[in-house]
Amino acid sequence: MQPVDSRVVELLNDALTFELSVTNTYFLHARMLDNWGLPTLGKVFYDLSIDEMKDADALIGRILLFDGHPNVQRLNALQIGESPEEMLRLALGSEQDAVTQFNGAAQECHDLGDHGTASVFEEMVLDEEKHADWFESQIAAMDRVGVAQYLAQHVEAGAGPA
Amino acid sequence: MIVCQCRAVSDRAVEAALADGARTLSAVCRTTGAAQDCGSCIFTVKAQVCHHRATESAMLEVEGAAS
Repeated sequence: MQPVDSRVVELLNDALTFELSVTNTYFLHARMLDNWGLPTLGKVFYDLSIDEMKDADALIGRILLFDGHPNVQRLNALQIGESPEEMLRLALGSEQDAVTQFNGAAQECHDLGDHGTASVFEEMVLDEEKHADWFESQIAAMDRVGVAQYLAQHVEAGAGPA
Repeated sequence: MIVCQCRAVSDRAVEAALADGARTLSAVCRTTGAAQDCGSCIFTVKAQVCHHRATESAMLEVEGAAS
């Protein structure tokens, strides 16, 4: 099926680039946090990474529906945090960027008359807003109780190596 | 934050190179090792070099006005 405008495929590919970039970033953050002994925070990043991969999958499906070519080679410059606190702050920034990007993409699709693709972007905006809000709350909690106390809750006390 | 994934170079290492007197993008890349492999981080490093230059010239302006 042909898109109303080739710009729609470009917008989908831009979103795909974003999703693939954060999939990789969150996956590495997850494993670094595990390595630092903070498995519950690692699990959050792991699950988010899988969610973003599923978004990428949906975008690939939609690009192919329009007989376009999904670009899985292009990634944004990755921002890898060097501390748990930095990871949370970088994640908040990237979720906020996603909301801006996908809102813009949805608007453009509406303007072009492609309300179906617009609704795909709108759903993604809702997801990313939820993620941004979660990271914002974590940073607020960290500022309130202190970094060490915040991180202490992510140590799995008593868990063995098995 | 790690900006160059190939050589694991942080934004702090780039800042340190600039503070140490590296003035151009290529000098920063040479001393830190950033952007020497796949090159994907070159624009991130460039942005940092430009930002450093802008801050530096703003500082010089302030000093010039004060003297």
